[in-house]
Amino acid sequence: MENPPAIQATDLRKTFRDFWRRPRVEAVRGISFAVPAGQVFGLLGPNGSGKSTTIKMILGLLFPTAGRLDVLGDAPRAVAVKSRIGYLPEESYLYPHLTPAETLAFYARLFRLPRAVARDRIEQLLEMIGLAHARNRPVGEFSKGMARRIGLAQALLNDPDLVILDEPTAGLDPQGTRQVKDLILALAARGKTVLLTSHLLADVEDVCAQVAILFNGRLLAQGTLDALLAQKDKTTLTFPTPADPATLRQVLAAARAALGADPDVDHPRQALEPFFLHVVATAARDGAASGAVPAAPLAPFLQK
Amino acid sequence: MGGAVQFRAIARLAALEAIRRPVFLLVSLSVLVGIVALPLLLNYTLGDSARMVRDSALALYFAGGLLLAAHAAGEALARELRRGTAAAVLAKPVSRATFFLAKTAGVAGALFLYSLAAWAAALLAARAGADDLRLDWAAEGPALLAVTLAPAVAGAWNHRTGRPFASAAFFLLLAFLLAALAVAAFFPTPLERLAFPANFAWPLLGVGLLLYFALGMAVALAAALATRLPVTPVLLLCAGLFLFGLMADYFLGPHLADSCAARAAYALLPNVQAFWLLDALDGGAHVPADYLAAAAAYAAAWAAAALALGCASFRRLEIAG
Ligand SMILES: Nc1ncnc2c1ncn2[C@@H]1O[C@H](COP(=O)(O)OP(=O)(O)O)[C@@H](O)[C@H]1O
Ligand SMILES: [Mg+2]
Repeated sequence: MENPPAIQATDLRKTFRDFWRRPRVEAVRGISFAVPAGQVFGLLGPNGSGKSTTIKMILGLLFPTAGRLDVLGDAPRAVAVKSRIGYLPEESYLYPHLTPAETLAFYARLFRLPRAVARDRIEQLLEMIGLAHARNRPVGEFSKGMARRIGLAQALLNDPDLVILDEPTAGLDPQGTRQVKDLILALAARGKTVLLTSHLLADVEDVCAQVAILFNGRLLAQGTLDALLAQKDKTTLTFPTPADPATLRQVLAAARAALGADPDVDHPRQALEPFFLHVVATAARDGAASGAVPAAPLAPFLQK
Repeated sequence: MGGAVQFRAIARLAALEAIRRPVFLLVSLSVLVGIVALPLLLNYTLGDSARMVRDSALALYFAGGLLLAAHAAGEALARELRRGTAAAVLAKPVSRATFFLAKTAGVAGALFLYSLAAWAAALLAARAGADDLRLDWAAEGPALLAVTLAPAVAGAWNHRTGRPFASAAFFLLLAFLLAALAVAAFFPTPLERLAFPANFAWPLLGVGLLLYFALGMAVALAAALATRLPVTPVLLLCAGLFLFGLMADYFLGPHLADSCAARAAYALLPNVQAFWLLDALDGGAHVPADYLAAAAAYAAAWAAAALALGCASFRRLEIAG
């Protein structure tokens, strides 16, 4: 028996109305999808396609106009189920006068974490997001990336089974982005379900097992990345570049003879991200870092 | 109970947020400076200055409080909804009712602190202006010092630490006014040589408490309205309704016998008149305890009804943040 899906949406619709109850925007127009438990699921789409609206319905903040929605086997508006969910909202969501430690302590109380547990987790999370040194500054002064990291910490305080991240990498620098992606993969490796939205395709490609593509409130495609992207009718072959150009010509001639078609020849290119990270990491090792401190991959309490 | 932990956390933050808003400091500072300045303005001018100082101080307190109640309660919800913090909080295992009630309680708490400061200022001003021809500087001096020193010290602290100025100034105002009260308590009044506790007009506190009950009703109403309306209409509706409630006897009284609508309006309107007992102070007597209890019960029932409506409305509100 397979696990039931963490989230199941059936013919979900949302029409925003104005003050006079007149329909104004059809933000979501009948979408159905299932987020399998223990997987990373990406909701992809351009701005305004209805991603955030869908997520807010999953959290019970917005109410669907029609359709069914099951979240961890419960209705989205059930209060108790929220203690198993972590949510990173899309935009500003922090009390500007609180410090990171105060912010996390506030949310810990909302999760009713025992005091000692809360203190422990807050320490670990501040360490993990690399903001332990800024713990006593009001978050209103923070850059967007720093605020985003606190949002992330806040979403993980309760060690959630289902993590919902709305544009998690928006506003982060490449290291921050990489860290978030590693974090998502680490969470998934521990059997957690992650639902994330993004319009940054490279980010989604790196972490998601399954994606759904949303446009104008409709689902255009969904499935596993392998199923959607693999070109089964083509094959790539990679081998060390021969010292003698003649060898290569020989190989190509053999391929042409066997396949009856000219193969494409090219040098594989390293992706920019690992290259960039490598360059920066090398520089950081030589000199003192001044910006965000590179942080631990996953807080210990999340690894248990 | 876990719900109590959440309630306290949200209420405490709501109170702090309200106090940190510059408007809060602006209004409370104006009211407190106004109250403290009353003896300077009114003494030596007409007879009966004692009564005028006392009545004006309470009127200032109530008007400022009404403004703060409506504004703070409106902002507590409207701003959180706009800023997205409400979405973040309600994505946690926090029920809508807990959120709404805790926010309202927090604003009522902030207003209580404002009331403490205003009552202290009113006691000091009433004592300083008790005599038509002579200022009691043992009360007026510390009071003036408190309201001028607090913003200055808060400014210096803000300059040094960068922490919010508005809340620091407010808390210092409160602390300094209470300290001024303590200082004044040591000195007997200049004419009759009355010593503590007779050197203050304590019955004033009873009327102040009654007015605070009315402000509590205003907070509840404003919070309920704020689930559907932006801050400005909340402010106008709330202030309008309470001022009308103050004059309800005058407008509706003559029609109560023959008009159902008038009777209904009279029953539903906040009966602010019941809390406006300034004339009772003339005899120097305390407000009777059973009157206080009855007024508290009325205010609680009225506020509970407003909060129930607000809760129901908030439960069905979509958090678009
Ligand atoms: N509160 C709202 N009221 C009216 N329209 C809204 C509201 N929120 C979102 N919309 C509209 O719904 C559509 C989808 O928005 P959204 O879900 O935020 O998109 P995405 O997150 O994919 O960028 C947009 O056209 C947006 O303008
Ligand atoms: Mg969005």
